[in-house]
Amino acid sequence: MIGSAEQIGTAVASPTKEFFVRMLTRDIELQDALLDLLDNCVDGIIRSGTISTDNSKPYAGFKATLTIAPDHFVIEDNCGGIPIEVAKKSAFAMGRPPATGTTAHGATVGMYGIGMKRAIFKLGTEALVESRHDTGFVVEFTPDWMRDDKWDELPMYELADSKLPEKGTRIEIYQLNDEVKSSFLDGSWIDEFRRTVARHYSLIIAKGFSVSVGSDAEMAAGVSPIDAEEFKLIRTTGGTDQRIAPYVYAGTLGDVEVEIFAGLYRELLSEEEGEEEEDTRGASDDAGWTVACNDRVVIWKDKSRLTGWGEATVPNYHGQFIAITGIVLLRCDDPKKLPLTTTKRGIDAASNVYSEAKDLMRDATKHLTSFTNKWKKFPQKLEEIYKASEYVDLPTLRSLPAALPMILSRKVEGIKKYEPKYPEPEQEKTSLRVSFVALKTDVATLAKHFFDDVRVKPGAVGEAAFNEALRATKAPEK
Amino acid sequence: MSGASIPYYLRPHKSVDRRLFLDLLTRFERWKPLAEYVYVSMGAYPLEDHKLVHRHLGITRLIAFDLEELIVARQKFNKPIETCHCLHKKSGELISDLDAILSACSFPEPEGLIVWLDYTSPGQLGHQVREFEALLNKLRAGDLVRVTVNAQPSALLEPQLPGAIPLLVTDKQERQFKNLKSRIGEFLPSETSPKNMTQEGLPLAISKSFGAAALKALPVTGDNIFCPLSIIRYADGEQMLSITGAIVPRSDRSAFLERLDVQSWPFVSTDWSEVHRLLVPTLTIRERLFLEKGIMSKNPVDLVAELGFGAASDIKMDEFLECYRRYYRFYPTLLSAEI
Repeated sequence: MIGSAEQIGTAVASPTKEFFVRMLTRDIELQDALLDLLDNCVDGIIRSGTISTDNSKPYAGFKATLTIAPDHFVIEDNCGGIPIEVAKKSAFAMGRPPATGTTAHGATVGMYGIGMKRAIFKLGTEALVESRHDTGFVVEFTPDWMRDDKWDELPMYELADSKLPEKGTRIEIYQLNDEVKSSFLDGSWIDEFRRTVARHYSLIIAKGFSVSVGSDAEMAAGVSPIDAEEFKLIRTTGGTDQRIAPYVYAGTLGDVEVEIFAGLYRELLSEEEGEEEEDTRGASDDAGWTVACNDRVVIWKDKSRLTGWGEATVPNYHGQFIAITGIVLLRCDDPKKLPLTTTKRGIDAASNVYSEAKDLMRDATKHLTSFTNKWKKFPQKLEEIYKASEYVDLPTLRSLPAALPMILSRKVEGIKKYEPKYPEPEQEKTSLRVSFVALKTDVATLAKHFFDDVRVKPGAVGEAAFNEALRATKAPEK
Repeated sequence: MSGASIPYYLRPHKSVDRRLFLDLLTRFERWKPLAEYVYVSMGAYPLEDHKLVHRHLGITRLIAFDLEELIVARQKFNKPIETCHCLHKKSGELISDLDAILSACSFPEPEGLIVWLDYTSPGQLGHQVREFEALLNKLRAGDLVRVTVNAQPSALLEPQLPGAIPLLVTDKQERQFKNLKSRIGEFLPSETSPKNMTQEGLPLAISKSFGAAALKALPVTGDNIFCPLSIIRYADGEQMLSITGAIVPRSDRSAFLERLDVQSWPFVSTDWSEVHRLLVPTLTIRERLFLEKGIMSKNPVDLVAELGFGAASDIKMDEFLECYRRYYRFYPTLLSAEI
């Protein structure tokens, strides 16, 4: 291209380390960087290939402990460790070298090969990685290496025999960055992180994996492992064909296995509660969609367009829909086919698989919002529809597709669905809702008149006045 | 029952708690003078706390508010000085319109703010935590916030119908926990369980939940931090929890606490898990004067022996004396008088 011109030198084109580190850590929150380290633990178990898939607690016995202190951080697991050859060739490379990109080891969530390095850069400037799978080793990141602009290879040392006898990995990080220090100093931050683990690891913890997070003192005192946040839906057990039950969609989209469950997790709001919620939120809001890829929750209780709210004919989320929730489980042995992002929070919305799954999610949301809207007008009868209701947990939900009369979805090939018929208020055909605004003092006057109690709810006062007027009108004149 | 309608002289705990608040404000002045601050509080009809901050700290910029029009009318009659503005507002409105309200009261650009949200309704805890978070979002370094909320476990339970079979403690705690979770689940400490639904455990869980809300409002990446100063639980009827703290620059936190010499202050809580219990039995004047004379020099066992009785108003004297040593200066002496 240049022709016959003589080369007179070279121009530097490699990335500076400072730029690389800053860019890599800029878009990830501290919590997500820590979760990345946890993901590596779980991927370690899966890659070891020792777990059985027909067991409901395949991860039992595997654990990770995260020790959080203002001047250091330690994560230790017993999840199989890094094979020495992998450590030499790829585990410490920035990004996974092309030749090692195959993932024939099962449904992991790591795929870019940056999680551990990015987490170390995010946290501090000095780190020690110890691991034992076959030959145990130690790799050290020094502040000098972090500052230096060269990408020198990291020296490896042999690990003492007494360390990590259970096969696992231990990462210690020192010289913490300022944001990390302030976070680790704050007990409320640490507890917030525990809640994040309880959510984003809910499925993995439910399968037996144990995660403990605490300070040195808490670890010494034996802090208890984090409990998973539950996912459950209401089902009524009455014999009629109209009932409250989960919407179920299951099947495959390409190579990705899909399971979707949606329904109600609590009672609908009464009219009064609904109005209050519009004003300030007073209830803890567990509504919304949760999405998990290979068991790792990447979206927790989302109520935005990301999960189909306010798209097509689905209304925007608001307080009235507080009872509606759903979960999407996507599974694939090749994580590249899942809509995962590098931070594993949020989703690759351009993914074809997710866009088809979202069509199904919107169907379920639409059914459930219509149900909510119908009953909004007749709150008095609402309690009856919950009679004889029970909670269904996720393992039970996942067993439903085999037992329910599932039908094929016309729209999305490869998916079968079960869409229950929800109860409808009988009065919808014969009755109307009357609502109007009146002066507080007038309502109080009538409340005193009808009930001798000014604290009676305005709706009851209005109804008493209406009934009184109706009785007087209907009464035969004397 | 919230106690809102019970006269103040029948609520000795609340009275002492308020005096402790005032003492804390006095100590805060070691960091920053408060005379030019604006004081915002519900105040109820007598505006007791407005009177106190005016008299003791010289604060003249006062705002009182209530959602009942009648109470506001009564506040207007009872206000201690002309520059006390009494507004017909809900707490949520006050917070969302805070800047506009300050300016409408002719207090634009105040030196600082002291806001006391004195909540009463136990069913509204979810709103209260979120309003606290919203309030912190509106404030700046140097401002003080105090919240009082119901922390009575039984208030988390719907009243049982007469004649119903009484619930077992474990069933009660399950329900209380479920209700608490449905209100403030995302703020609750991760280790909270039904077992914590006790007189001691619930205030601790609520306190830490307010800690979580403070962190949401002022994340660790920001310049400021909400620093709790005093967390107290007390019960004149139902148990209440009062939390007082200040927004300070993150980098000044240690210097601030050192300047206030908080460690020498008996009811200090610099951590959300330090909840103090305040015990205030009704004493006769003779009992009070006797105890005041000996409280710092004699040990509680001797004092109880000299008194000759082990409990007053259902409060054990030895537990009380331990607490009394720390607050006896503020024990309210209330006399009936004919005017």
